Amino acid sequence: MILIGDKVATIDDFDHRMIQNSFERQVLETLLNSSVTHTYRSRGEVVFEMQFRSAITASARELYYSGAQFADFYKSRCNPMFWNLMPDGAFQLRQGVPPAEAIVDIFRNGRIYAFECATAMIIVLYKAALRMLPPVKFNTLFADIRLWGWKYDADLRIVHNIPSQYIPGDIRYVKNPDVNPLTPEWQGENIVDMGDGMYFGHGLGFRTLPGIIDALARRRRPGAMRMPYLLETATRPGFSYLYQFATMRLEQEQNVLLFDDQLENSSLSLDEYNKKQEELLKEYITIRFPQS
Amino acid sequence: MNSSLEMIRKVSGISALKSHFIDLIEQDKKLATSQVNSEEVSFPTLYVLSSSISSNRLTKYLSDRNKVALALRKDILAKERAPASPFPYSICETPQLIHSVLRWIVTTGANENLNSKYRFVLDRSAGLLTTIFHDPTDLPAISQLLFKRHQEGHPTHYLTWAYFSTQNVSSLLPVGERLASHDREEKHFAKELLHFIPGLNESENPYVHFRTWYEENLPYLVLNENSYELTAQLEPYCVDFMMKYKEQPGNSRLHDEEFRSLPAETQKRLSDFSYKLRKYSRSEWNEWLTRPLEAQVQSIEEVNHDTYRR
Repeated sequence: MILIGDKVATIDDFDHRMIQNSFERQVLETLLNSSVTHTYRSRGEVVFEMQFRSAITASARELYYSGAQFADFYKSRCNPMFWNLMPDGAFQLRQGVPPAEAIVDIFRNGRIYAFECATAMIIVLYKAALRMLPPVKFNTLFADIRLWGWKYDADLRIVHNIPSQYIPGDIRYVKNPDVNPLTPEWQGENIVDMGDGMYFGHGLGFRTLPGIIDALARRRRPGAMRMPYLLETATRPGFSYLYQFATMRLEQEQNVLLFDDQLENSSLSLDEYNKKQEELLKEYITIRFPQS
Repeated sequence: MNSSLEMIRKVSGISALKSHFIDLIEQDKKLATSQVNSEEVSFPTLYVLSSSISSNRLTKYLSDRNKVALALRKDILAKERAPASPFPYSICETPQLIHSVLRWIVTTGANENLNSKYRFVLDRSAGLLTTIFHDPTDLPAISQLLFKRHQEGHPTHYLTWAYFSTQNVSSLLPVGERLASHDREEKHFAKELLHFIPGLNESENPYVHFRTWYEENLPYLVLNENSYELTAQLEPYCVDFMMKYKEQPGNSRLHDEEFRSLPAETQKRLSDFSYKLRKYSRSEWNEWLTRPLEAQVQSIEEVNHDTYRR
């Protein structure tokens, strides 16, 4: 169930223009049909999370096709034009380089890069954030990016916990307790739930959950007794926090907001408003103009 | 007496050692191998000479220690590792030999920093030592290696994982000892590794705080499955609140289900209080334990905690 303010939302509250693809529809339906109550401050916030989750899966696909390699921290590598490779295997943004450009370069010149799976997940999250936030805002928020495992930028507000419900676009973790000590980088795999029964893991590609488990099982120590298993935890960025910086929200703020007698709001551009002004003034009780 | 090869490496450097060894091979292969087989030779020296040894086909004349050490090195540096490929050396048949060689690699090699491949071999050897042999006497050497890596700004991620893979609570001790260090950075890293100890960061005397926490919680610490790759920081052990609360697993099953359903913070408060009351007066504790959980929680709020402080 989705609760917006104190009102239960239904599918009819979401115009088809707000749902851009089947993945977003799946996320929305998962939230709507859930026995768990998902609370949001506005419909825009729901749409933002839906689109952000879609952006996570799209970025995972993009990373896969970028040709970026899997490597442990000893063998990490990056494009020196954008990043400094630190002795501990971290990528530190070079001074003067806009973070948005540096993140895009990982996807553009993937073959120059190599990193392990937790770093891959943080890169996927940054790329998804870049799709959802205006580049100027992104550059301000993530001005001093350092990529190293889950030592993330605090402004992604990442949460690792056991959620009340799993939703496509979540990042999950398959633990490999009996990993071969010669390849500790396979001690577990962070995976993106692609929503179609497939998961993306950096270094493993797209597989079903049994496929991921099987791949990790083959990287166990000789004589291992325990199979890899999916942990209950899920990892998500702070959707609600990031929404305040969203492109779609900023665009919405440039529009004219219309409220009907049920206080349901919708928006349209200033040009459209000017064309239909007379008609609109009859139908809507409140009209708010954008701030100059 | 120090081996001459050791002396040359330490005094004249790696290049001098390599050319001396090649000269030695040309003059007398037997002497060359006997020198490299010397008990006094350390792993860094063997590592530096490894390519000369293999190119001159001297491997078959090496001691068992050196043969195993070079086999380990080769396997660790293998570019492609087929999944589930067996170890190239028989750990099952000669476990003591492999253990002693790994220990030799780590103890004699920890203080050298030849290059990144060398560091990689050292770190992986430490991982093999801890994950296969689980011997607590290896821990001081590996903690030494861990702090050295941190001090020099090199990766500590897998080594930290390897260190705590010993699955032995005593692994906390060599790290805790560093809280008493005069080196600020070392102290800071120890705090980072022990981040899961409540109140450690805020404590004015972190070492004393650690010792007190360790002694109080040692019987109740359990392995935590939480993984390093899942979060930014590893939490290798956690306190079993139920065990700390009841002292013995079989002790009063009255509240088990109810206790587990409490929020973690309440479980912690109850277990801490139970522990302190038990230390203060066992008879009072026995009586307190028979009260309903709700009454126990209420009593914590009512009681002046100072009464039960040791």
